Amino acid sequence: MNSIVFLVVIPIIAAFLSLFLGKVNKLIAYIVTIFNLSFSIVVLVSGKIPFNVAIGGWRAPYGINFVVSDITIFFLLLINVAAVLSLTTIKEHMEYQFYAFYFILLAATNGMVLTGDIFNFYLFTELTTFAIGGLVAYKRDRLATGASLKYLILSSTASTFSLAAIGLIYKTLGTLNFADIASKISNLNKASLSLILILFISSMLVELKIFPFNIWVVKAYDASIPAVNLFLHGMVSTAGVYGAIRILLMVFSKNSIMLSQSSNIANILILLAFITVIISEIGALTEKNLIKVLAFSSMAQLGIFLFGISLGNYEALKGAFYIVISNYFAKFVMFIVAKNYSVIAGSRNYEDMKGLGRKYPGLAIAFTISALSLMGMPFFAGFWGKLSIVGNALLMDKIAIIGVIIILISSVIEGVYYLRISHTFFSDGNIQDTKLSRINCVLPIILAAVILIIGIYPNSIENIIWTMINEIQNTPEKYIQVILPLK
Amino acid sequence: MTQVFILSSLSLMFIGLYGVLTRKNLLKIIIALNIIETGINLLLVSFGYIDHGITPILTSQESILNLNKMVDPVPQAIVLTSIVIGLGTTAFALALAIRYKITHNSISINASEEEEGRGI
Amino acid sequence: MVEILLVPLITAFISDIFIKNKRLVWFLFLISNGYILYKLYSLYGKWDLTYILNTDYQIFGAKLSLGLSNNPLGWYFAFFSAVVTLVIAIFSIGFNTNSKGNVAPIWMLIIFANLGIFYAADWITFFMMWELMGWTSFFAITNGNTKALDGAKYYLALSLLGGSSMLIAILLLGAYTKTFIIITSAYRLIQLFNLAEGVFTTILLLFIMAFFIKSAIFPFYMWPSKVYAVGPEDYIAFMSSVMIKYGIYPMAIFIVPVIGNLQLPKIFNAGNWMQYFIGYLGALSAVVGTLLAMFQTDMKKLFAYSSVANMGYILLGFASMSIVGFEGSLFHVVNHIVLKAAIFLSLAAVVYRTGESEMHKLGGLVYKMPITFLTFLFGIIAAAGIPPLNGFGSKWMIIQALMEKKMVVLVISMVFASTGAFMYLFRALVSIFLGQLPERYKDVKEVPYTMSIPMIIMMGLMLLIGVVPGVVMKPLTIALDALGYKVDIATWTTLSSSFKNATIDLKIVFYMFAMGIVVAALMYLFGNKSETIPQHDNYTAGENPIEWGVDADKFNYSYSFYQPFKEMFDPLFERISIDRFFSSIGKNFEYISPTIQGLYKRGEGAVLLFSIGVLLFILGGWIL
Repeated sequence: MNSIVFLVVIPIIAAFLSLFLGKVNKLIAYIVTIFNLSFSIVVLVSGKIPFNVAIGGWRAPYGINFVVSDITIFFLLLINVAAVLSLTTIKEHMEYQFYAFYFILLAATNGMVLTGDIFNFYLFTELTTFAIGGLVAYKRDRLATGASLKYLILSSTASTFSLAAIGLIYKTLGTLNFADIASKISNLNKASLSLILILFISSMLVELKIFPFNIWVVKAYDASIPAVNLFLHGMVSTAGVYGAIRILLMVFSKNSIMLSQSSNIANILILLAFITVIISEIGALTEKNLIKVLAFSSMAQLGIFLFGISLGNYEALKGAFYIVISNYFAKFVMFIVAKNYSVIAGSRNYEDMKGLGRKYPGLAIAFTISALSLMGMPFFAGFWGKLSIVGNALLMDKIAIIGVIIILISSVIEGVYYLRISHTFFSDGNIQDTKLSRINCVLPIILAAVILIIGIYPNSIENIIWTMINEIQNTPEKYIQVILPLK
Repeated sequence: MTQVFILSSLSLMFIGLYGVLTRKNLLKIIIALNIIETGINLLLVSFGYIDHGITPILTSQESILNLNKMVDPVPQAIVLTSIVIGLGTTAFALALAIRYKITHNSISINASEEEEGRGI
Repeated sequence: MVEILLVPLITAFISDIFIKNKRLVWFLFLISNGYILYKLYSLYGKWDLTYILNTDYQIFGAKLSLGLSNNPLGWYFAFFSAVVTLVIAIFSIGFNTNSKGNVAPIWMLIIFANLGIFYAADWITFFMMWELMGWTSFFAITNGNTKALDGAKYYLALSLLGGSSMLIAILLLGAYTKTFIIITSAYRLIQLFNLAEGVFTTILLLFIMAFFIKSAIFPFYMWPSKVYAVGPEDYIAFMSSVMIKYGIYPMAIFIVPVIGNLQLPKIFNAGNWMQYFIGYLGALSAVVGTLLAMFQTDMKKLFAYSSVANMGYILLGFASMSIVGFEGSLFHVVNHIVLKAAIFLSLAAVVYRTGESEMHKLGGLVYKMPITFLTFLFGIIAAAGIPPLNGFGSKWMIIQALMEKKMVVLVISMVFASTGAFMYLFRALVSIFLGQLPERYKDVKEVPYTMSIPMIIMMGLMLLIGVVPGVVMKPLTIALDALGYKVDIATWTTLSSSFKNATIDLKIVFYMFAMGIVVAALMYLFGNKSETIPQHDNYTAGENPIEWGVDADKFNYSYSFYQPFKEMFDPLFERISIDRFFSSIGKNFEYISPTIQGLYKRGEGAVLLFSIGVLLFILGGWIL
């Protein structure tokens, strides 16, 4: 399975080619993305998982390696599906810059998920940063430039911390390989581990949109075009979630037990998580710009995810996976709906979208379903996540219980602003005679149906999630030994 | 000797951080970012540094015997990559800064606040 | 048994597709409700029916299974709400012929949740249905009406808050008792009391908060007035009669048995502190609901507060912790379902014809809408607790039970509330139906048959339950017997009591009233002939206004009806407003919101905040 490298290489080649191809770019983008998706599916069904590919024949821990395990393939699929779905929303002609950056983003996010080397991971993160910076700035107006520049400054500053952490890892452990670090991490003293972890996490929290590091989010979402919103949400956040799971739970966790036992950093993360949740929900409460509301809400969802993984409990971790899946589908629906409705209404203010739900009920119903899933209402995917996280956090220490209360209060706030938006869609209003092709309604409805199916029939996804948790539980057998078989 | 490197690299980092935090001028912020990166690079190199070390190149069969005297090549490889990335970042940020000057008619980072509502 | 849940779900789906075709949708709504009623009728007595759905979903190390069961008490609630729902469904066909929105699909979803709540065997199912009911009713209330948003938002926020508190309670219960089955967890919770009293109290209080929010008991009493005033009237009839009982059902099936089985020290030899806690909250809601109802000008708000008072009565019955009080409360549940539905149907008829719900703008509709008037009259007689209509028996039982337990303060508050009920009920009657008919309602007609027939049915129901309480009490006592309570199966017309020789036969009461009516009729027939005088004569005291140089003006005394009384209580309500307290919490969140948005709008602060974050992070990591 050495050909797994193609997932990264082909988009990069396409990125070079896209500079010269002009109008063919759209086609190329589809071909490359669908290749990536179908290749991931082939890998999934080939039955060879887990396996390890040493690049250039340099075995781990000396060379760079790509690892495909259960978690990897799951996130690979999520990212590539997101890429395909986002591409389908692009109707107008885009210039070559857009596609060049898009290919880089595709390569980088795939690479982030595949790589088994921490410096390589850092490189791909940086590439993602560039790509997003470029994509956000694509609109070339005042807002886009400002947002892009701020994002770039913020994430460059963050990534320097990351680089320092990598240096420290190399100094203390003498290796850069994930598996090797994971097997040696127990030799590390606590202070060094804390320092390394803090420095490294701070750059990851930028992509996870956790509080002090998420100032860029709202601006970037507001300034960018709808397709880029979807890239940001579907590809970058998902890759960030993968990074958090891989690095926090599998690499930097002593004796391959969960985060909270390995260092006190879990408490800080819980604290940050619930500050994020409460701040972003309150921020969204009176916001009128629909895209900004969605940006705030996606920060909150990732805050809940971080809360779930920081608890140090496998069932809570399962809940975090449900939250990720629910958020993944729900935000997709909502961004597409927001895009279509704002095109018709001619504004992003949801109060101008009155009555659109009566004319295009499919979209509005899909939006409502997604909103309810994000609120953690029963019969929708988010409920199972909320149930697990809240249930297990209640049995933990005091800080987790405070977190639970804050998360529940913020879900009340979330309910108020989301259902207010839904209500606005369904209320009376004067509708312009803009025609919206019905084909635009199909994708959100399908995705909303997926949310509903997971919500009604959790068995459909429960076992997949347990496979991934199993990999986290048994990191030595399932991950380290795949890469370093001699041990 | 290594201590000197580490200390100077740390001071470079903090100078850079101070610059990023306090400067309003975009170009100064970008320069400050570069200073941080230089500091980090110096830190990485110093991690692999050995006093009176030799270049880690296997020129002949005998040079394998000098393995302990060789400086560690991995940080140097990392530093090379990170310099390239720093270059990319700087170039990209400068390009955006030009666009920023055109759209905002200013290179102060405060300029982008005006139309986007009031401050805190 | 599952089909009883599937039918409303499928109906909701179909009516969602054909939402534009109102006739079809509401007809489907009626058919579906009829089927549910029939099915519920056939489920009577089959108490051991269960349906379990196993999932692979793991929580607390065990696989979750969702279950439904034909719980006798649940059946009791479900059946009588289905009866009333069916009547309302007939009414809705006529009512919605030219309404703006179409609430049928979402209402059908609520009926699905309704049945789910009453049939849930475990807490997770219960919670799922509960939350479903919460957000669907938000959409049913707003129904595309922008003006309804504020009230509905208030309701939604409270409802979600209640849901959250219930979620915590359920999960704590599940974690500590290792089961989610409602009945089993009640037993284990009682055992838990001796082991971990703190956890026990937390669970109980969280549950009670959720149930009180839904049933509008004291600290949460103001959402009905906000919601009922704005929602679609036929749906509000359902909401005020059936939906407000959702908090009562779990109280009856879970909280009351748990509290009743605790060995707690008694205060004043009467009851333990939990009894008093529930009782005083009930008494407060009865009193506060009554007082606030008097001062309303909107008739729907008036009856919203009347519902609050009635929920207080039910809670008072629970607080007595005696079997008569328990029966009385559950009997009052059904009585209130019927009488509140009747009242709100007649109000809906008034709104349908006049489009007005402010009482002082109405008046004199009695001859224009006689059937509506009669329904309303029956409704308020029942609500006031006057025999021979329903509402008397249950109140009588509750007061008796409280007296027997020597809870005198609670009895006084209940009597106060019942007396106050006369005041506001009479006021509504006077303002809406009596007095002068405003010019603009000269052409008002009686509502069409589709709407008047359901009202006649409601009158019949009220009279039937009032004279033959056995139609409710028999199923109730059989259900309680099946649950293991020591009760005597009720007879058709007599109501047992907790005191000796205090059993009354409502048949005799009815005969006495019938005699009274006969005597009155005889007097009417054989007495002096009545004389019709112009309406103005009533308040011009026989003088002719033209002689005095003024125009005859129609005058209705219905605005600020109880002004002197209101002035008496104003200082209290001015100073203490729980409504204002809850609103201010929401307002405060809305005030903070722009600040936080500003944080994300600023550019320069971003990096600064970020780096401070990192530094704090580093410091925190080292210190903690």
